[in-house]
Amino acid sequence: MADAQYDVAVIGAGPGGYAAAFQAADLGLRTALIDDEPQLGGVCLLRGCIPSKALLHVARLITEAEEAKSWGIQFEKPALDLAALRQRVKTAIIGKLTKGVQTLANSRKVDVIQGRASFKNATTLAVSGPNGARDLAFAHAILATGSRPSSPASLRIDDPRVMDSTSALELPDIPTRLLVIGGGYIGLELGTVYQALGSEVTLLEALPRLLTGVDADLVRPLQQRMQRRFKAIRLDTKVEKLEARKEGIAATFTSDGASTTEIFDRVLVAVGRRPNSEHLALEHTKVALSPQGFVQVDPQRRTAEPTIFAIGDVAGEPMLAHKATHEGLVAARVIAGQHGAFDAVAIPAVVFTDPEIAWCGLMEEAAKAAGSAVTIARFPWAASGRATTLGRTDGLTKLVLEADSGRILGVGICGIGAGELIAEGVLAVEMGAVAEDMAAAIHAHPTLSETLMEAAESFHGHPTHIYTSKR
Amino acid sequence: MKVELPFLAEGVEGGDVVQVLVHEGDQVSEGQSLIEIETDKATVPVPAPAGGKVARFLVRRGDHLKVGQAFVELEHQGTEAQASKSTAPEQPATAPAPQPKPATEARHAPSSPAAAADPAPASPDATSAPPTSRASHDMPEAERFHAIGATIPAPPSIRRLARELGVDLSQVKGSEAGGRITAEDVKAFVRERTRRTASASNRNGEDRGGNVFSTIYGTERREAIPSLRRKIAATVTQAWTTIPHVHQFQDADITDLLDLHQRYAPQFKQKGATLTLTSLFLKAVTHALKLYPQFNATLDLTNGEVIYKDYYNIGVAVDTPAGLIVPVVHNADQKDLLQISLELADLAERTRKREIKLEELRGATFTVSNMGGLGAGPFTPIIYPPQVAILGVGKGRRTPVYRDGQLVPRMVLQLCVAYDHRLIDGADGARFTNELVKVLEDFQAMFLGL
Repeated sequence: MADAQYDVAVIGAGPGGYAAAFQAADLGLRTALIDDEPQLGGVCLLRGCIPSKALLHVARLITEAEEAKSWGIQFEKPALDLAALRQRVKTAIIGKLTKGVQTLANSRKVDVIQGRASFKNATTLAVSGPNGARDLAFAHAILATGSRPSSPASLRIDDPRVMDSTSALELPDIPTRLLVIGGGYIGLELGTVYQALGSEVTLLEALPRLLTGVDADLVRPLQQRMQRRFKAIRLDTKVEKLEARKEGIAATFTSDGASTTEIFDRVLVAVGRRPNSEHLALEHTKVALSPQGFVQVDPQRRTAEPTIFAIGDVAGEPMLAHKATHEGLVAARVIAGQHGAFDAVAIPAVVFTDPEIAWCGLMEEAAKAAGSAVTIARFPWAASGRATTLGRTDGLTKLVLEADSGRILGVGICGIGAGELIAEGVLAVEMGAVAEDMAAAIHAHPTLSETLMEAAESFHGHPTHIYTSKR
Repeated sequence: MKVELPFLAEGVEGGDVVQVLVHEGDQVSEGQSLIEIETDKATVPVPAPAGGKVARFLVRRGDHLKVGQAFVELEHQGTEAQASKSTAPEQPATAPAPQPKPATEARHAPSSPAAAADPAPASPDATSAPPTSRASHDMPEAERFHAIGATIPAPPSIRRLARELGVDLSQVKGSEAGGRITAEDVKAFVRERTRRTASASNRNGEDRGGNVFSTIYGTERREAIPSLRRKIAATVTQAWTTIPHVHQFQDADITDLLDLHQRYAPQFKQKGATLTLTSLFLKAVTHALKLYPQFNATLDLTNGEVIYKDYYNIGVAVDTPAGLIVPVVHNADQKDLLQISLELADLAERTRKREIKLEELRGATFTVSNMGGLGAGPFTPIIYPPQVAILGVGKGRRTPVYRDGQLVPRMVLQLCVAYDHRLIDGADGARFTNELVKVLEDFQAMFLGL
C-alpha cells in the first residue's frame, strides 16, 4: 500500500465516478479520477440525462404554447433556430455543468487524468491518453465506466440517418418522418422531443406494451396522450431490417405475421444499453462478470477482487445516474473504513415524458406476483384541484401498502411533475412510513403533492375529494 | 420424509456440513451415510434412517445444521419402503409423509398445476409434486416479503446504526407503526445482547462488534469461523471470564526420569509402543489427583456442591491442522504405562485425522497440555470447564544445578499448574504441584508407594 500512488483510482467520471472521487478525497484519500474524455460528467452530463432534459424542456415550452389555445391565448407557430438551441445546450448547459465538476475536482485536489485505463493487475492500471502512457499504482480502484447504447446487428447499417441516443441528442436536423425503435424510456423521451420540434413520429415496440416492467396503471395516461401526438405507436412489432435508400431509410417490420415497409427520414434505435466492461483487461484481475457483462459486486460494491469496487451502470441494473452516485458514496466510504452498504429500498425511476412517470419501491405487479398481502390506494388526478388549474388531469397517484399495517412499500405517479413528486414517496418508503403518517402530514393546497396525501387517506377511510362506496 | 439431524452426543447442538455424500436422485439404503458434519470436535457421518430416493437436499456444504433440523427429503418408493419396513413399522405405504396443502399451495403457486389439480393424492406418486413450489410455500411470510424487495422497516440512518453496532435488523422488533424500528429499538437490542452475553449461559465468546470491512491498510480477506474454532472461542472465553485462575509454576528435575525413559523405551518399542514423556506425565498426574481429589472435581455452584470424581480421565491437548482438540484417556488409573502409551499414540493419530469419535473427546476430569514438543514454554494454560485444573508442560532445559556441593548439568522441566481458586486454595495447589514434581523427580518412589 505504501508504494501506491493513489489510495483510490476512479475509472470513469460520470455521476457515479466523480461522486465517488469527491467523497474519497473528502475522507482524506489520495484520489485519481480517470476518464478518456476531456470533459468530466460522463454520459449523463455529456449525452444523456442533462441534454435530453434540456431538449424535453424545449419540447414542453412548445407544447404548452400550442395548448394555450384552449385557454384563449394564441401564439404564432414557433420559429426554430436549431443552431442556437444546440449552442445553448452545448455551452450554457453542458459546458457550464462540466466546468463546475472540474472546479470541484480541483478544489478537492482530485487528480484528473485523461486517458483510457486498463488493468495490469489488481493494483496497477495502464493509462494511455493524449499526454502519453503511464502506469498508475493504486490501493483501490472504483470501476465506474458506465454503459453505452446497444443495437442489434440487424439494425446496424452504416448510414448517419440511423441514430442512437447519442447522435439524436446532437439534433442534426428535424426529420419530417422519424422512426423510433424501442418503447423504453429513451425512445419515449426522444420521441417526445422530436415530435414537439415538428417530426412525425412512429414508434415501434417489439413487446406488447410500452415501458415494459412499469406499472400498467401509470403507463396508461402517458400512452393515451402519446397516441394522440405520435403518428403511430405499433406494439408487438419487430423491425426486420433497415435499408438505406436515397429517399430515406426503408424500415421493414412485421406484426401478426404481416410485413410492412415504410420510408423514414431518420431512425432512432433505442433498444437498450450495455455495460462498458470490456477493454479494461479485467481478465488480469479476479473481477467476475455476469452473463450480461455486468461486474458482480457485493453490498459494499466490492468485486471479487478485493481491491476493486464497481458502481453505476457497469455494476448492474437499474442503470440510473442517482443509483450510481449513491453507490459511489458507499464504495468510497467503505474504502475509507466506514460502515457502508448499498441497502437502498427505494431507488426512484423517472421517465421524463409528458406526462412524466415516476415510481419507487415495490410496485403492484411485483407484489401480486409474489403473493404478498398488499392494498393499493389510488388517487386519480381528475379529482385534484391543482391538476385542473394546470389543465393536466391526465395523471394518477398510486400507493402500494402493506395490507395490515398500511406501511408504504411503493409509490407510483403519472402526471406532470411526477419526477419531482416522487421524492416524498422515496422518503416515505425509506423511512418505513405508514399510510397514516403520509395522510396526517399536511400538504400545501393547491398542489399536486396533495394527491399523495389523499391516496394515503383512502387506506383508513375516504379521501376528501373522492367518494366511493367501496367499504 | 424429511430427515432431521439426530441427537449425536450430549452437549452437541449441531455442526457445519462439510461433505454431502450422495446426490439428489440417488437411491440410498438404510444406514448409508448421507452427509458429514463437523461438530465441536469430530467429523461425523449422518446415516439415512431409512432407505429411499434422495428427493432434495435442504442444506448445502458449509451450512450450519442444528440437531432436529431437517436436512434432506427422502422419498419412500413403494417397494423400497416395504423392503426396509423395519425402519417405519406402522407407516402404511399409501400415506406419504409430506402433506401438501392444496388450497394455499394453489394460491401461492398457480404455476404448479400438479399440486392444485389433484387435491386428494391417492397414489404415493403425488409426493413427487414439484418440491420447489413447496419451498416457496414453506418460506415464512416475512422472508418472502423480504425476497421481493419489501425490506425491514427501518430508515437509512437506523440501518447505518445497526451496521455499526453489528446488529442484524431482522432480529430486532420494531416498536412503531408498521413495525418500524427506531434507534431506541436497536440500542435496546444491543443492551439485551450484552446482558445475555455477560450472563454465564449462552455465551459464545464471539465478539460481534462492528462489521468493519476495509482494506485501507492493505489487503485482507474474510473467512467464516469454522465450527471447531467457534467452540474453542466459546469455551476459553467462558473459562477465562468465569474461573479465577491461579497459575503455579514449579521446576522439576527430570534427569533421572529421562534415564528411566531411555532405559525402557527400547522395550516399549519391541511391544509396538512409543514411551513418551506425556505418558509418564499421565501416570504422575493420576497419582497426584488421587492424593488431592479436589483437583479431580467439578464445582456445581447451582446446587452449592462439589462433585468429586472417582474416575481419572485425562485429556491430552493435541495440535491439529484445524485447531486444538483434546482427546481423553479414560480410566488412566487402571491402565499401565504400556496401555497408556499405545492408546495415546492411537488417539493422537486419529485426532489429527479428525477420525476421533465424540465419546473419545468427552468426560475428562483433568487435562495435560505439553508444549515441550514444540520447544516452547513455560506458559499459563486455561482450565477446560467443567474441570478445575490443568497441567501445562514446557520444554526441558539442560540447566546448571547446585547439587552435592557442585554445579552439575541437569534436565529441568518448567511446569505450570492452573487451578480454580474458587475450589482450590493456594496451599493445596502448592501441595499438588509439589507432589507432581516429586513423582517426576523420583518415579520409583511412586511405584514403591512412598
